[in-house]
Amino acid sequence: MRKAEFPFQSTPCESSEAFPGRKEYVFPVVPCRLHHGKCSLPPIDFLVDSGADHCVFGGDIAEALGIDIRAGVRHSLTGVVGRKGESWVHSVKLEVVGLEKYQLRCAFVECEIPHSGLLGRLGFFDRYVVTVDLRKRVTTISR
Amino acid sequence: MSNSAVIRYEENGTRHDFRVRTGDWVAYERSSRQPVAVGRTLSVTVRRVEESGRKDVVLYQVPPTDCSLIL
Repeated sequence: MRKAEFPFQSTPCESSEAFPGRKEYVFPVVPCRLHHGKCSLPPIDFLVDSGADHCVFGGDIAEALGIDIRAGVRHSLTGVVGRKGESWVHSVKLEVVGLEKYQLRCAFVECEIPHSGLLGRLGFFDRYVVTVDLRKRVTTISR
Repeated sequence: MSNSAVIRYEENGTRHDFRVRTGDWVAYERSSRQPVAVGRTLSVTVRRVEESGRKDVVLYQVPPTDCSLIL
């Protein structure tokens, strides 16, 4: 069995009325490299998101990979509040740092998304057993 | 959805205090988890990392706080 463990990412934040005393925002991530043609990006922490149907990345990632977003297969996305948006699906290679590299069908959006990218169910959760331990602040993946 | 915090990092021997905002990019050394470069865009941050000559670096984008919905 192949297994890897990744610490949560955290960023400091200012306390809010809703959650007084909170000083940082933590989120489960897996560092991955994206490859397309001759372009390769350095490792980027992508958010592990079981709520995302498939993997989604922002327009800046596409640009850095030399991908013409609209040349992909058009695909509509819907968020949890019902907001809809357009995406375009492309094939890239996803390299989970320290584990493996594989072909991935993923969506790119032109608009800004709240994170650099989402590792969703198709292409990530269907490949790995994913354990998110908030108390230990560690994400473990195995296959 | 917004986020604003100061990240301290050292670049070419000089210490910086950088007020990052949601959407900014941070590069950190994987072994020490210390920030080594920041930038407003991915391309700027990648270029700064390349200029620093560091290899063991991972990037992330500063997320918004209280982000309970995606897209």
